[in-house]
Amino acid sequence: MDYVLRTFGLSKAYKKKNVLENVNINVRKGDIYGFIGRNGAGKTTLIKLVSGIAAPTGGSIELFGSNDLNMQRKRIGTIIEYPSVYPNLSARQNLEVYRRLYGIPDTNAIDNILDAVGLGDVGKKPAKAFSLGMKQRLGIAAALLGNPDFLLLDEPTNGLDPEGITEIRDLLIRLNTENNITMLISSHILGELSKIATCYGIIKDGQLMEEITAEELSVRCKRCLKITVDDTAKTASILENQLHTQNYDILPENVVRIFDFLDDAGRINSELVKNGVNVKSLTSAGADLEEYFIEKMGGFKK
Amino acid sequence: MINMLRSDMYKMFRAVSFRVLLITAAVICVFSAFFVNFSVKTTLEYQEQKRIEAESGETAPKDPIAAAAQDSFMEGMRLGFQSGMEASINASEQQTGQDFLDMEFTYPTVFEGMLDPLYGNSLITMLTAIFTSIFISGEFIHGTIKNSAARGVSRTQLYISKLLTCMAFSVIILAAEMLVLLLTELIIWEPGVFDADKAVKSIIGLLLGMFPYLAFISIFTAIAFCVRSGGATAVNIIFVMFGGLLFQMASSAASLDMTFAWPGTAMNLTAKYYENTWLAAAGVIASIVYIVLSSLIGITVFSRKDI
Ligand SMILES: Nc1ncnc2c1ncn2[C@@H]1O[C@H](COP(=O)(O)OP(=O)(O)OP(=O)(O)O)[C@@H](O)[C@H]1O
Ligand SMILES: [Mg+2]
Repeated sequence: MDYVLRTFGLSKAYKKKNVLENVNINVRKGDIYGFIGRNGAGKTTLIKLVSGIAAPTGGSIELFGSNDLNMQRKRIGTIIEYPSVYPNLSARQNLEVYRRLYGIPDTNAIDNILDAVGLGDVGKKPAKAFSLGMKQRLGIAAALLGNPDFLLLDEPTNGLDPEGITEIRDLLIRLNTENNITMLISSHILGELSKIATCYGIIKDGQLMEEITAEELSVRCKRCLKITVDDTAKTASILENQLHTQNYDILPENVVRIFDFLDDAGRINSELVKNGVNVKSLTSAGADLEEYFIEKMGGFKK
Repeated sequence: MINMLRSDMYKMFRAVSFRVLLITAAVICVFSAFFVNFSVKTTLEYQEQKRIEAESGETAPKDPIAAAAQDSFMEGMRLGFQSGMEASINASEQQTGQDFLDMEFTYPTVFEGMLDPLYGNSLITMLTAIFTSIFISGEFIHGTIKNSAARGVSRTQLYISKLLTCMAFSVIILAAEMLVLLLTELIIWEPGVFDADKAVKSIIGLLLGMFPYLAFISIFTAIAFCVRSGGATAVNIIFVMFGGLLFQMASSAASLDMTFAWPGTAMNLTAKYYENTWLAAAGVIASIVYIVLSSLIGITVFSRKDI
């Protein structure tokens, strides 16, 4: 497996307060990694450590399988905290600064990127006169300059209107599928991530609670019937032979999850009882995505 | 590194402060050229007046009405200047014992006349202090420094590129000032005030004066990288304004003449190296030490701190 980013026991403390604790993150090549956590959970801090603008107090980082971080960082485009722009320069001039910095000979690169992020016709207006959404687009444009292989985007859709969110999302998906750019996108809003992320990292109070792929997650969040029985083997055979379904799995503590017959729980119950299985409980289960994350992120604040 | 520098230069030429400060510098230079001219002229007139007084053996009668009528700005300045000059002449006469009437006052020659406006005061240095502070702290205030740092440009490279850019600005603004001074001098000064020998000396002086001048820029850069906020401008200006004074106090407390090691004094000493070569050499060496030391400190602090 090719990893673009891995961290090993990464920690950061500000004045003895641990902001990141022992984080082991794994971003595979091609992933759109949704990095989700509450305000203050440590998302920006992790992005700062990876991009080298803050130094870790513990642990290590590996980029593209290498420890020569400054070299590898040339392949990364970032937005950290908010889009940083030169207020007195126009969109084009802002990008020109980075074109020179990255040593890109092609002057058309700027126009192409401006078109791609929807800033093709802003003209000479200085960036300080931009709306937040326009600055965000300019930030994304700057991150895209130089054809990076990995994008670290800290709340990139912050401040965009719904149309803008869709546009940027489509752009990111296109960059991911066509140009094979790996991304780590942080957000505290699941709705934005769930449409594009291929895997998730959930961070809470500086600790990585879980890493999970989108597929695993959808299985986990599927609605199901959870039954607790005295004999799971017998239950399994009844499900397959009498009810003709293989759409179930068996969990510890004699729990069986069935993903069929959701609206016909009575039939399962009667079939099992008829065949001598003792059904201790039968509930309809399956948190939706939102609830799942909220629970992992620390539940609703009381 | 070259790419970083190209990017910084691009920003410099497009900075609002670049244009504003360039124009300010030009205005200051035109004014200084007039002022140098004016002060020599006033001194000569004053000397002439004293001479007449001495010859007639009595004080020339002052006409109060005429004096009151002379209320134009220049005349007001002239009179103010004269009374100030009278005090300083009295003081220097007491010191040297030389009669004011025997002293010889001449207009500075064309290049010579640049030394005082450029290196004799801290006005021009102040402008570079403002530019350096705004240019560097702006990157922190707007967060744009993160973008360069996140792309694997090392802190040392970031620092040196900014330092060189601010030095480039300082040299550009100095060159522009020289041009403005030259033109003004050629227009307002008596025709023919040109002396090849003095011109060569002055040009060498102008170049030598750049050492302490650039030492200032290095210190401003280090301060801006440490302060990182809008406060950098204030700190740097205070540094220029009171640094010299502190230096004087410290060196008199230590009863050593170390004032050559204050870049402000060193600028003047090195520019007029032909008056005291040893002090000028000491000034150049002190400047190089400043440049190296302040950069080392600046880079160390910048590399250690999170952005
Ligand atoms: N420079 C700093 N000094 C001290 N504490 C800091 C500093 N930067 C961040 N923190 C603390 O670290 C914690 C994590 O901050 P971080 O910015 O990483 O959160 P976040 O997940 O990005 O939140 P948000 O969703 O609000 O952007 C917060 O408690 C914050 O107060
Ligand atoms: Mg954040």
